Parts: sequence; C-alpha cells; structure tokens
Amino acid sequence: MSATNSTNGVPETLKNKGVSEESVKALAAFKDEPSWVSEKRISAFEKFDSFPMPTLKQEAWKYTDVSDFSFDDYIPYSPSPDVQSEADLPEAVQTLIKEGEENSALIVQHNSETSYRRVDDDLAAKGVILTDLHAALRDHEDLVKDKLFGLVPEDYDKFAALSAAAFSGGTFLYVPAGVSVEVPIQSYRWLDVDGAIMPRTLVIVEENAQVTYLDEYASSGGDGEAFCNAAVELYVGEGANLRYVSLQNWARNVMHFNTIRSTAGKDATINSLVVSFGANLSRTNVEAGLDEAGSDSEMLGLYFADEDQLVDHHTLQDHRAPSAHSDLLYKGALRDESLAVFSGLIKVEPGAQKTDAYQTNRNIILGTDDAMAVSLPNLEIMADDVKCSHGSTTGQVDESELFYLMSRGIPRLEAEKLVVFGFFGDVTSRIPLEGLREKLNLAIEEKIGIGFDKSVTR
Amino acid sequence: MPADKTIQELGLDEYKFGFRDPEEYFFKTPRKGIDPEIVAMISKHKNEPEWMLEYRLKALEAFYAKPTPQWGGDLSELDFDDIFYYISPMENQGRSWDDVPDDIKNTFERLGIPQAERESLAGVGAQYESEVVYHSLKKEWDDAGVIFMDMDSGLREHEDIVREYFGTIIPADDNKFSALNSAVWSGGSFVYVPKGVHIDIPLQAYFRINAENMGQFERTLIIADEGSSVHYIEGCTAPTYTSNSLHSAVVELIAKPNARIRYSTIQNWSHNTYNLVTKRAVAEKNATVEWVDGNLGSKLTMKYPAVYLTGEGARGEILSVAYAGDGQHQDAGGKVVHAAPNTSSLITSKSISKGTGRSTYRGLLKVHEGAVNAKSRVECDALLLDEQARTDTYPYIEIEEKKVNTEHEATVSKVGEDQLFYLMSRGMSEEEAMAMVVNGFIEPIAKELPLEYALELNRLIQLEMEGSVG
Repeated sequence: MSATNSTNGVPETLKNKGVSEESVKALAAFKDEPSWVSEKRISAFEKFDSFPMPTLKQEAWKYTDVSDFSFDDYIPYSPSPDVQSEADLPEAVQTLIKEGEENSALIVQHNSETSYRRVDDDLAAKGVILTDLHAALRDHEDLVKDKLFGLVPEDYDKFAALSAAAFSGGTFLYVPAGVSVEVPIQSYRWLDVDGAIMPRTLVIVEENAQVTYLDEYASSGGDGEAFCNAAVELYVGEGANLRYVSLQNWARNVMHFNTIRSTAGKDATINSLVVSFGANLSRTNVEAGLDEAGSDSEMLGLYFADEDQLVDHHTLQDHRAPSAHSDLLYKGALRDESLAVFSGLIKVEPGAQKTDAYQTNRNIILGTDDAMAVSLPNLEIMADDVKCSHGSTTGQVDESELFYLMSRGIPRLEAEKLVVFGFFGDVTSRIPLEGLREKLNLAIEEKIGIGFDKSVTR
Repeated sequence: MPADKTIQELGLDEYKFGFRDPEEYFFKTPRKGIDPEIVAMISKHKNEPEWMLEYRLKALEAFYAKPTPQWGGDLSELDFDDIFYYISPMENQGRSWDDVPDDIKNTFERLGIPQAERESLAGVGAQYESEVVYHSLKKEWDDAGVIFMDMDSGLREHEDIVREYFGTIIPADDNKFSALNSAVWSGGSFVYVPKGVHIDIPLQAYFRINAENMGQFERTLIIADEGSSVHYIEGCTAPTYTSNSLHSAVVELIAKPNARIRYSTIQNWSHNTYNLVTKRAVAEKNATVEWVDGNLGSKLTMKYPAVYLTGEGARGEILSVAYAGDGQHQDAGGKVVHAAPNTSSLITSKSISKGTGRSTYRGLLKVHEGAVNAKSRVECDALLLDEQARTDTYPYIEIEEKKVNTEHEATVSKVGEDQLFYLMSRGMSEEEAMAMVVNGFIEPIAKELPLEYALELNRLIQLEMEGSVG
C-alpha cells in the first residue's frame, strides 16, 4: 500500500526558512484537514510566538544551551515522494528495515511526509490501524479527535507549541480492545535534506490489547543543519500493555527535540526504552502518567555521548493514582568533550497512597576528562504511604573488573569493551527484542570504537 | 531622613535611654527597615574601623541588587521593611554565670545547659539580641593562644586576622541574604585556633531572638590553623511571636592543612521565623570539615552548609537532620565541591515531615576536572508521618572528572505499621512507639552529637511530636 499524501503544489512560503503565521496557515490549507486542526495550528503558533526561547536560567534548561539555535535557520517543510514498495525506498532505509526487528506493520516517514506503509493483512483484519497522521485525521477523525494534542499540548513548552503548529507526516497507531499484536510494529523517520521535520506520533492501545512499537530516527548526514521536533502521545487503556522504543540515531548535523508522554489506565503496563546515540544536541522529555490504580511504568534509557554531543533526558514518573508502580533505569556513557544531563523526577500526588516508585541513573565516563555528567534525581512526595527511592552514580570503568578479566588472559582493550557492555547489559537485557539488542550492541561497539585504548589511564 | 545628618542630629541619644520596652535596650535602630543610614549607625555604634563600614555599605548595595530567590521556600511574606536590624541588650558582656540575665538562664535551664556548663562546658557565648553577652574561657586556652570571643570583640582586638579572612569564604554578594548579613551583621563568634592546638571540649554558643520583628544577623568566623582541631556548637531556641522574624547568619570556616573543624548546630526557631543561613567551609590539604546540622522549628529554613575541598586529601562531611511540623518548611541540605585530587565527602540527610510539614533536601555535589579519585556519597532518607506531609529531594550532581566514584541514594517511607504494632504490643502507647521509631531514624545524626545535645535533639523532637513545643 502506498501512503496517501500529495506533494504537488507545495506552497511557496513553506520553501523558505523559518516558521511564520503565514507558513502555518499555508500548511493547514495545503493539508486539507479538519477545521479544528487548522484552528489548533494557529492558536499553537501564537503560543509558540509568545513563549521565550529557553535559557540556562530556567531550571529545565540549566545545562542545555540552545542560545545559538534559531527556528529561522530551517526550511519548515520538505516533501518526499510516495513509493509503492519497500524496494523503492532509499537504500539506507531498506538496510535499516532489514537490520531491524521482524515487523507485522511498517511505516516510513521520509523528510516531512509519510512515503510508505504496510500493514499485514491479519492485523488489518483485526482492526489494527497504522497510518499517516493526516490520513488518520481524514479517515478516523473520531478516534483521533480527543486524543491528539491531549498529552503533548501546545502549552507544554515552546517546542511542543511548534509541533502542534507545524507538524507534518506523523503516525497514528490504533490497537482495538483485546487485540494482541505478537510481532512488533516498526516506524522509521528518515531525513536526507537540510531542514526541519516535525513528526507527531499518536498511539492508542485499547483495553486489554497489547503491542510493541518501535520508533527509529536516522538520517544520511550532510553539511547543512537539520532539526527534528517530535511529539509522542501514548494512550494505554485498562489492562493493556504497550512496549514503546524510541531509537534516536541521527547523523551529527541534526538537533533533536522530543517529548514523549504516556497515560496508563487501570492495571495497564507501559514499558518504554529511550535510546539516544545520535544528533549533536538531543533533548528528550519522557513523562509517564500513572493515572489509574495498578498502572505500571517501566522506563529504560540508554545514551552514549562522544565528541561534543549534548544528550539531555528529562523524565517524570507522575503518580496520580494509588497503588501504581514505576521503575526507571537510565544508563549512559560519555567520552571526549560530551555532556550528558539526566534530570528525573518522581512525583507522588496527594492521595496516591501505596505508590511504589524507583529511579536509577548511572553514568560512566570514558576517555579524557573533558566530558561532564550531570545527574539530578528528584523526588516530590505528597502522600505518606509510599515506597520511593532513587539512586545515582557516576564513575569510571571499574578497574577491579578490568583486572579480573585481564587476569584471565583478555587483552586490556577487549576487557574495557566487555566492561562497558556489561554496564549497558542490565538495560539491554531487560528488552525482549533480540534484533534490537543486537542493533544497540553494534552501535555501542561503534561508539566505544577507535581510540578507546588510548583513552583509559594506565 | 537626609543621609548627611549626624548621628546626634538624629536624636540617637534619646533612643539610647528612651525605650519603654520591657528589656533595657542599650541601643536600637530608630526605625524598622534598612538603608545606608541605618547601616552607618550600626557601624558607628560599634566604633568600627572605616573599612568595615565601607564593607557594610557595599554589601547593602549587593543586597538591593540581588533578587529574592525564586527557588526553595516561599519568601513572599517576608517583609524586609518590617524588621529592626539592630538591638543590643546591654552595654557590657557578662564575665560570669551570675551576670547572665535570668530569662536566658531559663532557656539554658530548659536545655540542660547549666549542667553542661558544670560538666563539660569550656566556654559559653550566649547571643541575646545580636550581642554576645556572656563568655567564659578556660585559662589554658588563653595560654595556648586560642581566641574565642564574639565577632565584634574579635574585630576590635584582632583586626588583622579578621580583616584577612572576613568575607573570603562567603563574599558579601554571594546571595541576597549573605549580602544582608554583611551589611547589618552583629555578634556571632570569632574563633582562632593556633597551629597544632587541639581543643578537646566543644566551644558553645547559644542564640535566641526575643524582641518582636527583630532580625538576628550573627556572623561567625572560625579559623583552625595547621594541624589544629576544634568542635564548635551552636544551638538556638526562640519563644514564639505573632509576627515574622528573620534570622540570617553567615558562618565561615577555614580549615588549614591537616586541621579539623566540626561545627554542630541544633536550631529550634519559633514557628514564625525565617531562618535563612549561609554556611560555607574551606578544607585545605588533608583537612577535615564536618557540619552537623539539626533543624527544627522556624516557618521556613533555607540552609545548605557547604564544604569546598580545595586541598589534596581534604575531607568533608555533612550530617543534616530536619523536622518539619504543621505549616513548616525545612529546605535544607548540603553542598560539596571537590576541587582537588583524592578528596572525599559524605552527605547524610534525614528528614521527618509531620502534619502539613514539608521537608526538602537540596544539595550539590560538584567534582571539578582534575579532582582525580574523588569519592562522594550522598544519602537522603525521608520519613513521612501524615498523609498531608510532603517531602522533596533535589540533588544536583555535576561530574567533570572520570576518575571518580560518586553515589547518591534517597529513600522515602512511612513509619511501618508492623514496627508500631511490635512496640505497642509491648505496652507502649502509639505516641511513644512513634517517637521511638523516629529517634531510631535520626540516630545516625544524633550519635555524632555530644551526649547532652543528642538528648536535647531527641527531647525536642519528642516535644514537637506531642505538639507542645513553643
């Protein structure tokens, strides 16, 4: 099946750099969408325009300097061709798909538009929907209407406001009540131009349904600058189960901003994994709303920063209902002149008794001493019958572990690699997706890569 | 009033004798609020050297320029214009126990001080409305060259030392409250321990507020010269008033190579007091600084004792215990900065929130590049006693060096039903059982205090839990 987007007659204003009220209105007209969406775009643009750019003075941006960043540097919309089969996709994307998990449905966003999608017949027969967000607004407006912008609203922050105003492409996944999707569903965002892309993801998993959904961001690289401004909304109904993976592996010419927010119904489970390997600056907010009794959120994170990368994760475990459970583990490695920021908050609202919440952040610093790790594990507890704890450690590769391995005849460089793998192992081992684990291991291997032998103090 | 008027023209002499307050004030600023004139009056009254007046006036400018912190506790009700910035209770300091006013004695009595005096006290400095009124020092310390006196006397008698160190650890413009203190400071302790001298018995000072709307701005400077050691204890109690009071102290500690300073505090301000304190220490090569900090009482406490580890092998330890009852917010914690190799630090924080109380741990752990083999551990435990109680943990961890080992852990829990049941099944009332669990919870901090202080801390918490402490 092909996606159903039209790239003919792209308005001139979308070919110029920068976002303006004019470009937002032009995009709305071009998309031929329901009037409530166009109205949302315009009011969101006003919000975007009125919000100041974040500065280091704001707590949430204390270590992440975006003062050099300007929205005016990017073309806000880049069309891409529809393709009829996987074989017509860019070769690099075909490779990604081949290397990826086996999938039962697939969607590819190429630059600003969905270019290809495929849903296995048996899934479609069960009522599972995987489609371009604009197509969903046309064909499934009743499903989308109350949910889109519900978790990442335009007033969340400046970037979320821009997403609501100027989103294009995007994905809608719907799993009806009681449906179990056994084989993962896969989404790729592919970027091969300079400019901005603004994908939105809306996932609705109805009661007692279950699904695994993988979002992957990759690009061809280039001399110019690119910018991804993403928003992800995950609705998980009563007793349902969603495993969500975000794998950010952009080339270094990309700035990445993403807000992932989920809400979990009674006894629902959300397992998220957020991987940040690429981009020159990557800022991801991951917020889990534990909104009903018995809901459960496992939040895993993996990051590896090298050269002058800045990787920033802000997480929230928001306990608004009693007897919910959340467990977060974010692990990162740093080398060269990179900066990693982790800021995590466990929030227990009044009345959320019998909360059980854990949060751990661990960093290792490899190589030179120019890297910096910042860890802010926060708690705000407003109920008394709770079990909450958090932990944070920062250190280097454990010499005693190295010694143990070397005493068994493993060369130092190899031993170092093993220790780093071991460090990430307790995150990767919690992911029951072998293909993904292999992919992560390859990426980690590449990151440890050359020069690591020189980088460890003898 | 025009600033060029002399003190005489301002009718200061009238103020000197014209009070009709229950206490006999020797001197009180003629009005509430703060301006250069008030600052000049305070300095003039103390016959200070010119440089200190200039220091105060410069600090005042910093106070005006600095914004009120928007983080931490709620300072919106704090009115800087509604406070008397200086009152002195009497002209001369007492030299013996008999000279100490009865009401201070009563406070001491409640806290077991006379007994402590008899048994182990080596010196008592009691701050009564911004002025140290009582000191007794063991002769042997005088002989050893130890200086322990109030800050005003220190400035008069040891101007060179004070001038060398005053404001070097906490610059006047460090924050709004250090600036305020630097402008209007009065009283506090000045301690100098010469090289190689070890003081075995703690030096102690008590402070209290007992005039309505009166600020307390004591200033403490402790210098432990090479290879010396000293333990300084400060405690606070205050009767309750109906309008807000402000306590804003500055405490600077300097531990020279191989020296050791321990600074212990148990503060129990009245529940309408803003307790906004800047405490900071520098630990040079192989030196150790320990802050033991107990916070009860007050409406809002914002206090984060800091240790800067500037010399190789230096060690810093911060033990903090906070108890927040109804309507109270204890925003406390600690800061450690590792700026030299082979330094180590430990922060242990225990907080208890009862009723509508809120306790917050706020801390910074910073390891600068080059501080190889830094080791640090931060441990925060919070206990919640009521459904409306609240606790927060905001640790900032910034690591710029790879050869480090840092750990942070925090837990939040409530008093276990089974613990209570066990104790009550052995005949304790629920209140007694609860107090016992809480005492067990703070034990790691209490055991670091001298016995009478540990008892005092336990007793204060018990009284707080009964809701009967004023």
